[in-house]
Amino acid sequence: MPDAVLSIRDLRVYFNIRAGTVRAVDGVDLDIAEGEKLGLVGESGSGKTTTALAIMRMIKPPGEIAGGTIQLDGRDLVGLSEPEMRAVRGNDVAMVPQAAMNALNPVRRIRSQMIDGLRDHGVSESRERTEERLTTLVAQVGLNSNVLNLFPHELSGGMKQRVTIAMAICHKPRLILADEPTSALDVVVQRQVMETLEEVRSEIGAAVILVGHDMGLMAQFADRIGVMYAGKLVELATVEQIFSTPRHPYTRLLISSLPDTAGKRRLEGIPGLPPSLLEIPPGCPFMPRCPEAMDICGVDVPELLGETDMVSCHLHTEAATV
Amino acid sequence: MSITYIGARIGMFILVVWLATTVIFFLPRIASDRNPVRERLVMMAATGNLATGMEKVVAAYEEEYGLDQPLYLQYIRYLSSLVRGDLNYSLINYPTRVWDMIVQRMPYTLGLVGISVLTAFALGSLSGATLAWPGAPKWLKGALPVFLTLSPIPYFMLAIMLMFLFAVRHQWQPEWWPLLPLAGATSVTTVYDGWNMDRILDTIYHSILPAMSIILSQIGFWALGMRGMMVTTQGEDYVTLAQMRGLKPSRVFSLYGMRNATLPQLTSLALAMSLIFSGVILVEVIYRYPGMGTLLYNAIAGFDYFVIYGVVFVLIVMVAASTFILDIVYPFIDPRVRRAA
Repeated sequence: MPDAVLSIRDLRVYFNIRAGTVRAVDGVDLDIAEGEKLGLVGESGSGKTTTALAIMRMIKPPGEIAGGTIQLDGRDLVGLSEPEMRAVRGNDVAMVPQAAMNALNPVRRIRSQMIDGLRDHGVSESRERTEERLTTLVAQVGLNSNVLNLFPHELSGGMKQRVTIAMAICHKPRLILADEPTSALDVVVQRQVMETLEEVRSEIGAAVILVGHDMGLMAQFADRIGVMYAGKLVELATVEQIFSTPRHPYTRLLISSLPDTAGKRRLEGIPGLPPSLLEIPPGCPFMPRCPEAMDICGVDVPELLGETDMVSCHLHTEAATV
Repeated sequence: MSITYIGARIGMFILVVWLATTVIFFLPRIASDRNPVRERLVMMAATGNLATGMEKVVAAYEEEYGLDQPLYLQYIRYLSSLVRGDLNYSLINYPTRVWDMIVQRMPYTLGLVGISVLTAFALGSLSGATLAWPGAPKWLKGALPVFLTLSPIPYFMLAIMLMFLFAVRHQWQPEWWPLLPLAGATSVTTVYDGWNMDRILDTIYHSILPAMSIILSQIGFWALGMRGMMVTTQGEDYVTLAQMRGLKPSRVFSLYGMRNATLPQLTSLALAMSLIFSGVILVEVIYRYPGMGTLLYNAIAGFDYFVIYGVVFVLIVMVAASTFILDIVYPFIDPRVRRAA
């Protein structure tokens, strides 16, 4: 994808602990077009949040980006120095955090915290202009300008999350990473916050990576969905394709495990557990749990192939048909 | 901040001071029913030091203090004189008033405690915070164990060690080895007339070793506390988000990290004040520093009960006041307390 805002190639994030090397993200390729909304799903430990953190270059020791490239508008973030990367954070790539409950500094007013961002990204303007800008920003996320005078503990969970969205769009970033932005909110507020996020996103035309495991939320919000398993992207397709014709057995099981409002079907999970990321078995990582596993799955890792619906599964490779 | 909040704090301050002074009053009375004035008189007579003013002292006290009256009446008398700010006379230096003696000594103690505690707190907290931050300088990492080793040593032991090293000339000391004053608050050879710049500088020069005994012992404590708090703070979501928003590391460190980590440290500081005061008393004695500690020590050695009462009362007020000040200041530094305030 030549016009991609973000282009990730063979991204590997390893955590070097005493027991060995944990391959949290192991060879992810991902392209995101301008203004695209990509959902990244997968169970806990599948590497979706780690991928988002890697884009921010916020992997902390003992973790490290062990290889690959992350190109934002053609500029490789992996090679940037820390001060260069700091200028990118918040400016070109912004984060809407997971737990907004505690994401704001408890001892400083919202106004000061927002101004911190402006100052550190080199915005110097008159006090009136700043005030105007902040008022517009909070209005964009549906808040009254008096929240600027408040401390975080005086805001509700939904209001706090709106403030973090206002902070994220402050510098009109090219890409917004939203890591389960609504997981701590009740469903009504969840919907309002997601609508707000979508509104401001389309206003500034940013691309979004929404990380989460709420398939319902993904279906409503995203254009495309990437399914991660054991540090790898196993399927990447449009929302329609993922829900109507899922191709990877894991995606199928994931969707069939969703609660069904129509029938009285018993909820079913996926039997087994994901492999230890310390010792990923040879071949396809999903093989031990896969109902359609074949001989080749145990020896050969399938590649992510395809045009619009990409899948890494031997059911869809040459190897299986031969 | 509401009037009721301030009122409640003032009420608490008065309650603490009242309870403590009550204990101070009754404890020696319950322990023995002997008349301190007569005890003193007998002692001085036994050593042949019966001064001419002694009979007047007894008379003054019998009348002033009503020592022959029932205990509860004495207590009421004691309290009412305290309320009027009257701490009675010194037994040894009659007719000097205890209050005048304390006022003379107070600036020295307040100066010594204030400067050394604030220095130790600031240096300790700052280095502790830096140690928790990635990229802390190596020398600082090396210094922490040294200060941790010093921190369990009582102030007076450190005072003696420092005196041995820096106030006494030894064979092994090279030429350039600095020697600092051994005792007192000003040079013995200089007589000062009131407070002026020279006297203040001389006092500071004489205070270096006593202050260092307190500072060296405390830095490790504050550094350790701050490092722990800072490590906790760094794991907080608001620090992570601040980093992800691309804020400058210096700003994240100070306004997001230290600003929050300092809050529990300040509480510890107010709570530690009583321990610090009791430690300072012994440091003053060792350096014959003319503060309230030396005054108390001499009073205890000479059975000067009313000076003991007076000094202890003032120390209680100081410790209670430090807690009171923290209570008043806290809502300003932690907005979450403001609502309760």
